[in-house]
Amino acid sequence: MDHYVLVKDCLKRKPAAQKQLYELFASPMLSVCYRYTKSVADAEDVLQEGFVKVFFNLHQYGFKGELGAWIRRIMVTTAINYLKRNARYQSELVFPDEHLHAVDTQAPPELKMEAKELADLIRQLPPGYQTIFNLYAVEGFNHIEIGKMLGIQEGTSRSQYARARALLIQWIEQRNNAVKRSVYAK
Amino acid sequence: MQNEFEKQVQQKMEELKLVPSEPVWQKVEMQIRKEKDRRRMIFWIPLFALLLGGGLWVGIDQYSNNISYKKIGNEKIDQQTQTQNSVIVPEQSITEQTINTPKEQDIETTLSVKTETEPSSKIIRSENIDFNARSASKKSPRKIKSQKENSIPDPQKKSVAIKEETIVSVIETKNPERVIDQVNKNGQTDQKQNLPDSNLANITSGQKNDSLAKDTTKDEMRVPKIDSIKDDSAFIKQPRIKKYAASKWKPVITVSSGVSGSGRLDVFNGFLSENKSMDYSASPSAGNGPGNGMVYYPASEVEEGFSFAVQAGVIKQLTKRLSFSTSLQYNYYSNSIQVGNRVAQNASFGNYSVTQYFSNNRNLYSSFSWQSYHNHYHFISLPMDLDWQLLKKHPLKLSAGLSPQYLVQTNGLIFDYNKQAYFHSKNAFNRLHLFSNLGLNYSLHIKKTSLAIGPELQYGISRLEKDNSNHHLYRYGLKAQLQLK
Repeated sequence: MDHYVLVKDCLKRKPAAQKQLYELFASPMLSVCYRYTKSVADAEDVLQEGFVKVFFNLHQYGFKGELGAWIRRIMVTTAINYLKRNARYQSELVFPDEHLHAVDTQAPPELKMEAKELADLIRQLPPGYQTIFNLYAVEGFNHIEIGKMLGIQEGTSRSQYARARALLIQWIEQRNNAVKRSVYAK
Repeated sequence: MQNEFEKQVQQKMEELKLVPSEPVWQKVEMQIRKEKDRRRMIFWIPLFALLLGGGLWVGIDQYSNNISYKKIGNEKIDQQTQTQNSVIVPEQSITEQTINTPKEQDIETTLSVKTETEPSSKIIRSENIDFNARSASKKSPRKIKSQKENSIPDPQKKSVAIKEETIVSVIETKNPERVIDQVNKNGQTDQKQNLPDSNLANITSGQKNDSLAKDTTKDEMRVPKIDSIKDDSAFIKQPRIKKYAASKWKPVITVSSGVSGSGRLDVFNGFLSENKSMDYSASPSAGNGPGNGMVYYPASEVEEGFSFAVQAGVIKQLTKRLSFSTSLQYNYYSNSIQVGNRVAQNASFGNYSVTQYFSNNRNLYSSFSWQSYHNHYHFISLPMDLDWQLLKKHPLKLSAGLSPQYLVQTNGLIFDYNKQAYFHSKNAFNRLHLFSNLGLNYSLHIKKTSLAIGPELQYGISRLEKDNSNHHLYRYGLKAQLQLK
């Protein structure tokens, strides 16, 4: 079904259309939520909360841009709010003001791994790093936008991202080396 | 280089696909429904409040009118009360005399009172009261006795104080008989007529009327000239004219019968469409839970069942077209569902512990069979309805109201989506409910009773179960209301 018709039907509160919209976007959106949280249960909570917002605010969509991108934006915002108010993440979601960050000049490692594996590596980052890495590297927000979203300075976002990126690259390299060693061992 | 890494990460993340578990959608759906319920309530509550408030306002207004009317119209007026209420005079200043005593020349006031048995008489009253004397009367009022009993031709007390004003009261009634009292302004006694039923004075309030002269001419009586009549508005009370008398509470007996079900009222997708919405679809769906690919057996479709209500109460006509009724009502609702195998073992469904349940998961059992189960719900309620007569000449009424209901007993089953099973627990049901009533009825008058018959819809605004917002009881059918007079 065309997204236009689907949204129109959802605005008419047709249950079948609402379920169809959910089924269409639930899987990719759960992946988004999964990257921001530490457990599947938390990801599903965010997904649920996000979809409720989607249905309540669908009239604001206005067919400006792609529906998937609009829903994804809602999911990301919901995820950040979830992290901010959830006690498990609150304590770790700190962004110290650091304006110095190392500029990585090395060639990035090859990502010869499954998507799930990479996502799990991102999820192992501390929540602050994890959030900023996701927002910048995956969602494509710039540091000014991230600063506004998280209520931090642009420089803080940059330095946090640099640290997150460096840490992730280090883990990826370690993982690649481990794979190589196991291959050689065989 | 930096961007290349981000591109790779982005690409990898696009490949990531996870499947949410089934309860996520159920929770989403539940929250959407809850919000819709809230919005619907926001719409309906002010409407009902407005209706009830308007009805009460009209009722109170009519009631107060009725009281003032009755005070004036139904008061038994004898000479004694007349004196207390209207003519309070100093003991020494006013004397009274029966009309049959024309000898007395110095009578200042003669009061004629019609009794309650003849409320239709025309009464003309004249008084000549000194203002000073009237003010003095407040300190020592004297009750003037009945003229039949008393005839006080006391010339010594004549024309002491009352000289100044002549007041004439006329009350028009059905009976053409009239009583005329008059007092000569200068203390001269008018010629008195022997009039029927003129032994009592009926003094209420007065109107100066040109017909006075005509009336008195007919009766060959001398009446003070109109010119001589002075209005004493402080002394004479104007009667309130009653427009409509609100009726008394009248007993009513009502019986309703029809079919009931459990579903949702959806104005966008057809009436009660969600009774057969997806969470009731009988066909299993696959692919729930992250990667488990299990087959999911949802809840059964709800089939409508028999329902009835009996109630005894009272009805009050607030205006010509608006009436209010309230009663004590017993409601019975039922519906039927298809359930799977009965499992007699202790189990926990959320916060509820049960000793048996009905599993819909056919994969768990070698011999699986569906069976029909009837849910019964017994409610006691206190409906409050307003009936509005749509047409002036025809007793076609639109009825709307609310009824708080208490769930007394039920054997109803609740579906657990995680365990794909039905269970019963009284605690899982909301006990207090609010139902809305809407109906049309046409009244037939048979002797001293009236019978109103018409279609009725009752819909539970509140949720039936505590944990599921999709289930609202409803009934539609015929309603017959017998009003006794």
